[in-house]
Amino acid sequence: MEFETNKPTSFVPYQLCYMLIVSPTQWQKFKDWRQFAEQPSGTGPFRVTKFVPRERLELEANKTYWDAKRRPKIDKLVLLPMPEPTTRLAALRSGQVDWIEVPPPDSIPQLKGAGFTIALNSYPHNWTHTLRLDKEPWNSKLVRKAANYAIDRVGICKSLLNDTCIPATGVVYKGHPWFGKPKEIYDYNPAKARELLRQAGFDASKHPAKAVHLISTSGSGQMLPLAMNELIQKNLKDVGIDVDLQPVEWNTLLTRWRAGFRTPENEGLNAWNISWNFLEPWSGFGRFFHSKSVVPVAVNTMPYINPEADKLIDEAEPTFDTNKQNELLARLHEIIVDDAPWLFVVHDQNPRALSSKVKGFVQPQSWFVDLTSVTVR
Amino acid sequence: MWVYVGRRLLLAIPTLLGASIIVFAMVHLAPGDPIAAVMPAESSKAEIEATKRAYGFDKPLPVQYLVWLGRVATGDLGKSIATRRPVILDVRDALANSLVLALSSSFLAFVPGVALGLLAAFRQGRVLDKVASGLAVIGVSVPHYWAGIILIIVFSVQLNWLPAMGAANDPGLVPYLRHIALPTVALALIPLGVITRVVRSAALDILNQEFVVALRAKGLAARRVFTHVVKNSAPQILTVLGLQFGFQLGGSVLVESVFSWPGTGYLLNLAIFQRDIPVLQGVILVLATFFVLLNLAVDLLQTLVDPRIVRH
Repeated sequence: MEFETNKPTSFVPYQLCYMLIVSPTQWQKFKDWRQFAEQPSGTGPFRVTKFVPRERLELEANKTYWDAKRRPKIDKLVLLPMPEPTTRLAALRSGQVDWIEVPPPDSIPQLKGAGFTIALNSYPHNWTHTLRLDKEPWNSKLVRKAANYAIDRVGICKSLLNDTCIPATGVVYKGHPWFGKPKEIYDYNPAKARELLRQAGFDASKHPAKAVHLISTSGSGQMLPLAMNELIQKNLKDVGIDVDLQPVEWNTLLTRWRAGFRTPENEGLNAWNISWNFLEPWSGFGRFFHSKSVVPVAVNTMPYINPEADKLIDEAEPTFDTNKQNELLARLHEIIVDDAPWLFVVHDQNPRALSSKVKGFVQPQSWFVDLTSVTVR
Repeated sequence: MWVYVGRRLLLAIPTLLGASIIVFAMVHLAPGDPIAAVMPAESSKAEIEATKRAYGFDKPLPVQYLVWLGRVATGDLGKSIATRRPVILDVRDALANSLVLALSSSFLAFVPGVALGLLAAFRQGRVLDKVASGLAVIGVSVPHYWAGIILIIVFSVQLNWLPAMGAANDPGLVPYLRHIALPTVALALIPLGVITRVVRSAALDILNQEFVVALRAKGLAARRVFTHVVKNSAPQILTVLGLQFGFQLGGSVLVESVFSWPGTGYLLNLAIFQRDIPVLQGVILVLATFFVLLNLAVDLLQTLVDPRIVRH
């Protein structure tokens, strides 16, 4: 197989996991996408044996998988969609399933006490408010920094989400090769936030900063949006920033975000709360912070225009030496953290709860999990 | 009689058309773009437009409605945006599951509900009446999704007797009954309460009428008086039973979601969050049609038990 790119780009190997390669032979067999989807053909370690849309997907181990070391240790795998968190929890606790994704945070101490394993790890996810930079109050770097110093991230992670997230002080988390050494480390410092606001010409009693933020009531990667946003709203209010939260349904938020701030519907807004991933340099930085990515080309909605950031992204793309590329991206990250175009809040840790029968699972720093090493006693 | 039946059948047509317009308009008036849910964030305008054209979302709403109605009339409810499967297949499977759940929960609610209501009316003011009325108040007041969660905690998590979610995957009646038991009980609670209360008040209403006093004065046996009372309160009871059955079928979104029961409520819930408009329209339309037909059946049944309705 051969890929052609229109310029030298080192991002392709990262992006390969999203290039979904389908079997032409299977397509020729059905010539119908529905049948193709219901009877997929692949070369993976598991084979589909039964598929009932919206109900269940059953897979069996592929005993002839090409990589003998990664042949599954379990014979059968059943995946059941359960959108309701309490239903997932009950199914796990009653022994109907051995593994659930995203247990409700409240249930974690109880699950641990009952002998279940809670798997957590940092992975490329950030939960932020993307700020509008061409309008008051977020057009002022001082106000943006003040807001970032006003948020009690440790409180959100510890008290609200039972340690299923880690505080975010940048686009990526501390310890990530792209984190670098930003000048600003946004800890919870309301006094510093008030001082920065005063320098920006705002005052909690006489002239508070005011903003309208669009948030969702639920949604993919949004964690507990209502509770988290109410806490953030209170934190910001405490230092003199009045944020009016406007909750909408998740897909409505996505539709409005794609159109950008400069539409009649979004004109009154100052930010939106959407969680992101940063799987590779383009999804982490290019699409948000390059001046060529301004809406409608990609999703730089703020818009964030910084020639220095453009230069670093442009340099990172054709740099095939990973260490050098990491250095460039770390420098870029330092600039972005200092500019604070987002409210950095938390990184999710992708919690999942496993029964004590499940062994051999390693929680990856990725959306994708490896089930070939898993055994069930 | 036949004139009345014909008139009711004809009246059902504009009702169904009205329902179809409301269903179509409701889904389009709700905020959010169905295409946004399925297209990647960086999709170009041209790609979004092409997808809109493919699903017919680029045409004016009245045109979209007529095209949709024409297809619906031939049994084609379109294709799901999320799964690309014909909606009719999804609705068919889901409706079958919901019908079974509605029938089982209605049976569980109607039989004891009518019995308790009648007993309470005939024993007005006594212990039995107080117990039945108390049970009815509990049934009406307990939110069924909450009752569902409590049932799961007790019977699935603590006692481990019954599965917590889903429909049976293994063949056979026993696995099927084990899976349907808890959602049936959860769904039966509200109609049980409503029916007990309505039957009690309907029967009391009749019991207080002069002709019942006359029947008793004539020395008629209690059993015969009971028959007269039941027959006279039947139209009111039938109306409530019909409505409650309709609610069981269409109003089980919460219970089906709590138990992940793959019925129309569960499908509706998923379709709402995926903005899967063809599925939403298909499910709501089929449920609305069922409701209209159910009301028609109840109306016709009422004419059988109470001929005065035809005369009026």
